[in-house]
Amino acid sequence: MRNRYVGKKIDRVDARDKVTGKALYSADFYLEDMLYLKVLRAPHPHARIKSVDVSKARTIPGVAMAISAKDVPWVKNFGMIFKDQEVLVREKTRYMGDALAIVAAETETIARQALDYIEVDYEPLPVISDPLKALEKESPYIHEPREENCDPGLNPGNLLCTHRLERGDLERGFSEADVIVENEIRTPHIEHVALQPEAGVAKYDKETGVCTMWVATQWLHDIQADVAQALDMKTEQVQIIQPAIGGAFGKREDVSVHIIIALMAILTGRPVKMEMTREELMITQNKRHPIIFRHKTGVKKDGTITAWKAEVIGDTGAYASTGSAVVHQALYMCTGPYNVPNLSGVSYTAYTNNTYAGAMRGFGATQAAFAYETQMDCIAAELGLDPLEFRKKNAYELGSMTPNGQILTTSVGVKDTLEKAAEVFGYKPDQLSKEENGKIRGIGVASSMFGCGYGEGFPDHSIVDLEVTDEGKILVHSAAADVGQGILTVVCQIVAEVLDIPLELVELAPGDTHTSKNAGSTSATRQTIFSGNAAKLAAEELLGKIYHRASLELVKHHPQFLVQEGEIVLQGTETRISLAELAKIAREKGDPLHAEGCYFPRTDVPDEATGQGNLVYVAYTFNTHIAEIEIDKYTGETRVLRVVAVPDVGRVINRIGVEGQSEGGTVMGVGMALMEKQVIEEGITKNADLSTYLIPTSLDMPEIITEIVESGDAAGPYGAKGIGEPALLPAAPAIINAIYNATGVRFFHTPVTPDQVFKAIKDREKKNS
Amino acid sequence: MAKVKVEFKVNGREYSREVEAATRLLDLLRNELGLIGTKEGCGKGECGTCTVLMDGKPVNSCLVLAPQANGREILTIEGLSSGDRLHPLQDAFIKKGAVQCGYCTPGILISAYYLLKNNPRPNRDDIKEGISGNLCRCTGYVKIIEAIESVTEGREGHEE
Ligand code: FES
Ligand code: FES
Repeated sequence: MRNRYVGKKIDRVDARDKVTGKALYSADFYLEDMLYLKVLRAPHPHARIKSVDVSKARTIPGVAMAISAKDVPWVKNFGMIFKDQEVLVREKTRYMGDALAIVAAETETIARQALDYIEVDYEPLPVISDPLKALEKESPYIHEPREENCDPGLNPGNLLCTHRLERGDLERGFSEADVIVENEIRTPHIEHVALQPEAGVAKYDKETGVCTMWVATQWLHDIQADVAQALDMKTEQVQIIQPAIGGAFGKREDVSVHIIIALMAILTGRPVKMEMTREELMITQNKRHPIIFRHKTGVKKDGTITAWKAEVIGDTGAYASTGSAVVHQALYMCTGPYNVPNLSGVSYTAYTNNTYAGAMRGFGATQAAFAYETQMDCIAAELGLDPLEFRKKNAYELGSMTPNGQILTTSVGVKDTLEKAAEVFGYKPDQLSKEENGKIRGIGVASSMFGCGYGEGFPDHSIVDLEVTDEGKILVHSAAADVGQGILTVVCQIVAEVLDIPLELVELAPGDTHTSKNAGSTSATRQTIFSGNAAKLAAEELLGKIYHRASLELVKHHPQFLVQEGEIVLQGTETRISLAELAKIAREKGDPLHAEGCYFPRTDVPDEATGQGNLVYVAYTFNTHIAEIEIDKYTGETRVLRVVAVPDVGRVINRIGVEGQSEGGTVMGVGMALMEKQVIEEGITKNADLSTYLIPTSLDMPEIITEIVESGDAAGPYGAKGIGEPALLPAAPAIINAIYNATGVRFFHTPVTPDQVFKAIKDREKKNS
Repeated sequence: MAKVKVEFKVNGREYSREVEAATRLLDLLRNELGLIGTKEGCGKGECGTCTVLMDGKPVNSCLVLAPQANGREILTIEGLSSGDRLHPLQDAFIKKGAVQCGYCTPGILISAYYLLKNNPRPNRDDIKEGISGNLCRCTGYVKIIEAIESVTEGREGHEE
């Protein structure tokens, strides 16, 4: 059957509001009589707080309220997995973003100025900014020690958690190897730079006890629960209405302004607004985890991998956030889409006094991909094999086993992505570099895998609810956060596809904790699979209900009538009932046209000691990039000229959406490879703005060709898999592998900057002469 | 703080407001006139989300003080379409998939509008240069450039 919408290029349902400036983001809400909030942050990354005195700030005209921790002793800690973060710091700061006091004032300027009148007395403690140092037993504790789950020999106050992978016989694997390659690979702190800064507006209704907020989040119901528990409220007393979201990339998985605005709306009894500055959010909000990978791989001369040992150390900074999950995902994806019979790995997540790290596009798998694709390239070079052929030789097929022990039984397109990429690029193994007029060109390859959904036995699910309105439109209630990736367009597309109606008849209600049910998080590249499936189930159910009601009204059966273009048509006659009429009849008869779809797949918790399980993730997305770069020998500057990106998405739902993710992910990878690093020295960020932390502009982007592989038959609707995070994974390693092919110099970190390339070329020339 | 009178035209309409001298044009537009289509991404002239035209020239409205706009003419995203009729650039942004989160969109549309006004037949490099002061983290710029290209002179209505 041909699809009407699925697989096509579909205009976004929210695009018109966005091009006219009508879309409302968090900061665009203005309530009557609103107060503005500002927060005093830590004076030192690690300090014992002796006192915080807000009394002078309270006397400033226009200040309505100023509080510190001792004014709200009843407020509880928050955190996504571990509740280890304080809303207002009580005894000590652990990083520069810790909040010490909050001011509410008539204007933002007054609130900001009032912060200068708050007096803080503190005693500095030693700062630990190196995760390896943090893990040493002798280092000072950043958090209360937790001996029970700490490896002996490591620091119980700074080790958050340990994870393991064990499979096969590592020793035998290494003894079968002809060559053993060992490398240490490191990634830095990276900032999301979602263009919309964190902001929110809240009001509190004393009568009902409900606090209503307009604030962006990737997961409405999770943030709702965290706010409620922190402020000792019932969940239903916290209402979050989802505004338009100006990008997220993992940044908005964490709490930012949420608890603060709710707290101050309750305490002041007036509506409040808070907007973080770019500098404040760069210092305060989550980062991409810096991760150290120590890889040791055994391989036969013919390129067969026999054994792989991995050690993964992640710096989660001052608080856990999602750090335990990020770092173990880096471990669980540590060998990429390649067959490895004997495997042993361990990961450690360490606290430091750096800005805390959490989710960022790829969630550990991005760092992992850079590391394994560097390692794979080194092995190919060592064996004198073509890097693309070497990858193909080891790439997954049906029946392959992931690092977690999951046997892949469907939708394994990784080889196809490698082959397609080579074909579209015009890849020639003997032409991976050339030099002309002081410019050196290089070509690099990288592939990647990503497990979609939370998996690992987490109760991950999504619910979509549909109703037929009196106008005969289909109203969709979904709490899925559209952070720009286009999930709500995908949901509408699927509903229109199933009901065979014009897309214009599908309308969206705003995501709202009080009118839409849990859709899970917009993360883990899961929404197309989860909310897409939920939408499909709901639409199928609704279609059944429409048929049911129509058959009662027409006293006829399917296929004598059809649902078409928003009407029920009795075949071969002029008789038609509009959906609006049918909805009215159905409601009058006490059985409204309404349906709910819930997608709640099973996954397994991997075994704690070995990390092995049967069904750890619902689907895996693969992606291969081939990048061509050009280096200016005299400046060391690298330009990315061209990237061929070939993701395997199972099945395309919105073609323009998949391309958009691929292009955006690729350019984010250019930034990761060549530009981006949040420099945090001794806990202090040195580049907290966009003129010192650079991201790619239109002048930095390469030509990007996205060719999509549809291996089909994946867990998502119509066989789809996700694309959001996998779009980024191979970009940076492909570029850095291209730098290697151009110069013969291998870099084991990101970003690779012009001074480093220049020096490397010079050193090499010196050595060769 | 001393109040200053600002009389200016925004999207063809006359406004007169008393503001504190240190008020930014961005805040005057958003907080006083309710023109929230203009966004703040950095407040430091680094991101371009606050781009508007002042007397026909693009400025970062976060770096312009409201009194500097006295007697000037401002164009914001709200002034790009006429009633329900979208500007061809807006149409192209929708059709080409140039919008994702949309936070950069108003600023980029204003930059693109300025570019085409002054150079109706820009090539790819001109377009890249023309929007280089506007960051976009979502799209990788590819579809934004395609959208602008599709409405350059002689290519209107061009479909692939
Ligand atoms: S807000 Fe004005 S340039 Fe960023
Ligand atoms: S569309 Fe999100 S920043 Fe451009």
